[in-house]
Amino acid sequence: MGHYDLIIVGAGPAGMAAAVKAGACGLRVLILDEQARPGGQIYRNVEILAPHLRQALGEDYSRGEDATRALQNSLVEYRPNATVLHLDQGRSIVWSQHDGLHSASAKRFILSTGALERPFPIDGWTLPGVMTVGAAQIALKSGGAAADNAVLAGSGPLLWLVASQYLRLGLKPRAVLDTAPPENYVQALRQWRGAVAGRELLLKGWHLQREVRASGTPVYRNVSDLWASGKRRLESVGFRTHTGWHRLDAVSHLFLHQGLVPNDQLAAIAGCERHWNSRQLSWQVITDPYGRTSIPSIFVAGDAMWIAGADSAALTGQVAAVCVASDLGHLPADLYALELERLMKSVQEQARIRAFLDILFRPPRWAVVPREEETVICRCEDVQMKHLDDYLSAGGDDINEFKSATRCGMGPCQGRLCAPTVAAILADRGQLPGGKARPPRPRPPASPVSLDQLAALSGDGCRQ
Amino acid sequence: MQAMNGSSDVLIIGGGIHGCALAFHLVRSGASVRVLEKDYPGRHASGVNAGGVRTLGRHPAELPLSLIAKRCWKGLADLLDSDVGFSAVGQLRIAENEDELEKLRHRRDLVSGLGLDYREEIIGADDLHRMVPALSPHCIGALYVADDGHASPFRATTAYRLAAERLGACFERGAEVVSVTAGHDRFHVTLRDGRSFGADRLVNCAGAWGGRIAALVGDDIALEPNGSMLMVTMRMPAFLGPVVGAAGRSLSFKQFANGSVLIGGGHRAPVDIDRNGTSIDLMGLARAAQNATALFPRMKNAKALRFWSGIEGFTSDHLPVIGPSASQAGAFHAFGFSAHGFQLAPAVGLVLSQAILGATTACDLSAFRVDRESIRGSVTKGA
Repeated sequence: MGHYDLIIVGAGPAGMAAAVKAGACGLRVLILDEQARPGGQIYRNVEILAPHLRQALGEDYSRGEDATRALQNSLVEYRPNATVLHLDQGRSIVWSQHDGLHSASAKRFILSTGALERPFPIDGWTLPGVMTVGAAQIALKSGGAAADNAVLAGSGPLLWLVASQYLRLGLKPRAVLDTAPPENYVQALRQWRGAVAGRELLLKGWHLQREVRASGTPVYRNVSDLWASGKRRLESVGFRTHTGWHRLDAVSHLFLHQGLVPNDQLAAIAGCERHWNSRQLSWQVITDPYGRTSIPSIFVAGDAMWIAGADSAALTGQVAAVCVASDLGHLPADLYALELERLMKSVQEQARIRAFLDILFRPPRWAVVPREEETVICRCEDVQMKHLDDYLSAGGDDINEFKSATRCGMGPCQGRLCAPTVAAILADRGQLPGGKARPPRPRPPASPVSLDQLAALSGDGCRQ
Repeated sequence: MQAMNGSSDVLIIGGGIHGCALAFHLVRSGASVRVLEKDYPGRHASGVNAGGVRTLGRHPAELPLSLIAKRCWKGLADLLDSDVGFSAVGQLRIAENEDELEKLRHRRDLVSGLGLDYREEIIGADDLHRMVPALSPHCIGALYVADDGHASPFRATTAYRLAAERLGACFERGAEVVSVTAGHDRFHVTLRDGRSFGADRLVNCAGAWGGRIAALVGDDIALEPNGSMLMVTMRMPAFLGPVVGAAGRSLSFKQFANGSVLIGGGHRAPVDIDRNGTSIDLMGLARAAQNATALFPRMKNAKALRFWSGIEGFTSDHLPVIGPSASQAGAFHAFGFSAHGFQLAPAVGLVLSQAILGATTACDLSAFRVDRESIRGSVTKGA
């Protein structure tokens, strides 16, 4: 078993920046990442992607190569294709590679495990042909088959980014359905400081929207009550705008997006405490301003801490690395204070922008609380809205009891696709925050593991 | 005396399957019952155990009770008017060599000599492999009980609770008991949140916390809280009927109707009963995986989806405590089932309700006395 000063999980913007920083401070660092190449979801395959795809994905994507190069040029030990299974008591970590299970211990851990797309449980969202906008973008970044004539629906920067990326590859969307309610714009303006700070970002977003409209793609605003239907796979999409009901037939693909939530599964499995973040409508690992969790040896950074985007992630990654370096005596107190002050100034600037964006892109109620009683909440175990309604109206208030009673969250995805929905519904019913509802208790392994890999851990000594 | 939040004939501490089953039988006999559960009913070992329903391999002292339970399980869904997930698929204990088979033959003979209307039968290699074609060819025989099986722990616990509630039992959630006082044939119980309840009879069904509750009425038991680890795999095509254990390995192995496979075998991991904390020891689960793949080669490629353990109380002789308190008249116990109490619950609920109400009990409980020498706690032992 290897021993390190610091083990980082996830080589996205936060993890890469943390690793490079900690390495530069002289720490013995291991960074584990599930993918074959560094970059995380946002810079997935940036080192190897074909030029025409890179061009379509845009400048912000290509910029990721600076970060991956910095990681590759550092002295940090980087292990790709490493799927973390368990982080035990903030001391030792177990991961799986194709050749078996490995374990290592460290004095500190930084979990930069990124974000997941918020589930958008409309009627019919489990039909083949319906997928997330993020998955549609991964298809581009993997050089895979992308769909022509798709309908994109939801809100958030990624929706417009992916619509324009598809356009640049000559794949014209059938329509873009913007679900951001008009009142979001009004409320967001109250955060005008954030808007000013983020003017560059807003301008970029405005350009993307203009690009989509200029292509002749129909754009519907103030969309609500979206549904999808079809016999064996997606056929039709329906929705409402201020002008009435609309229906699109012969639709082959529907890409849904309602923003991101932190991927804090590993932090939760490790035992880090979480609370409900009403502004981002998600569970959040409880941390000090620098990312240190309730388990002092574990930090979270980047979108795993709170959703703030790639630029902020690189900053919070460095903040955590600086704290670890100081903890372990690798950074003199005066230098630590200076570094931290400089980094936190930029983090706070990013936080102001985020406060504005969180309100602007806040999901409307109908997008997180299904109206139809038969809408599926947990697609692995086919748990529907009516099952949760029954549980709540019988006086239930515990996510884990609901899980035991209905198997909601016990399927192959282990709750990644239903936990945010269940929590949002509990929040809607006043059980969160301040109510009695507690966060779900995810169980190890953080990813499924084959039994022969697991069995090989114990050597031969299993016979009694 | 301060104002109380409620009064009943019987107060049950602990809303696990034993507390729920006992509540059901008591209200059915006309008693008024309140159950005090510090979390939610079925939160710990009762709701998350392996769900094994077996008489196979039980300690002879437990067999009479276990056989009553067996009869109860067959009609339980009808009795409670609720699905308990029970299916009598049979249970096997596999022998991989002649020594193990000899051990199983001894067990068969021992059971036959008990004078009970119950047999555990030896089946040979041919029958075994016909019954379980997925089993590794090196297995040479097994001990078999055809009407054993498995059930759904959370559903069964919930079914008892709902049936008890329909007959008038009250369940208090988040009700952690901090003190018990007894006087004038009445018990007065105070909760951490300040609520208090009174009753003529008090029953300790507090599982891993049973030792602490026992101490509140003056009984001193050595009870070790521990977690029994389990894992479940992704769904697989159906390949297994009966529940499989092994003579020479720590293994419990079953496939559910939905295709997922549950693997256990008493591999333990530390727990923290003050914080409801469980932990996972991967080395223990690695042994479980090794045992499973040794008997079922196809499991090598199976993917384990979830590891967990429930919090359970273990006595030093691995037999439960069931029956009246040795120190306090009117107080009773049913705890310390040492990770094999799930199957017993229907019988414990029935028989203990008879004991509490002063009726003739369907089965002698003296083997489970709280003051037996083998489980005495450190306080009295040292005295």
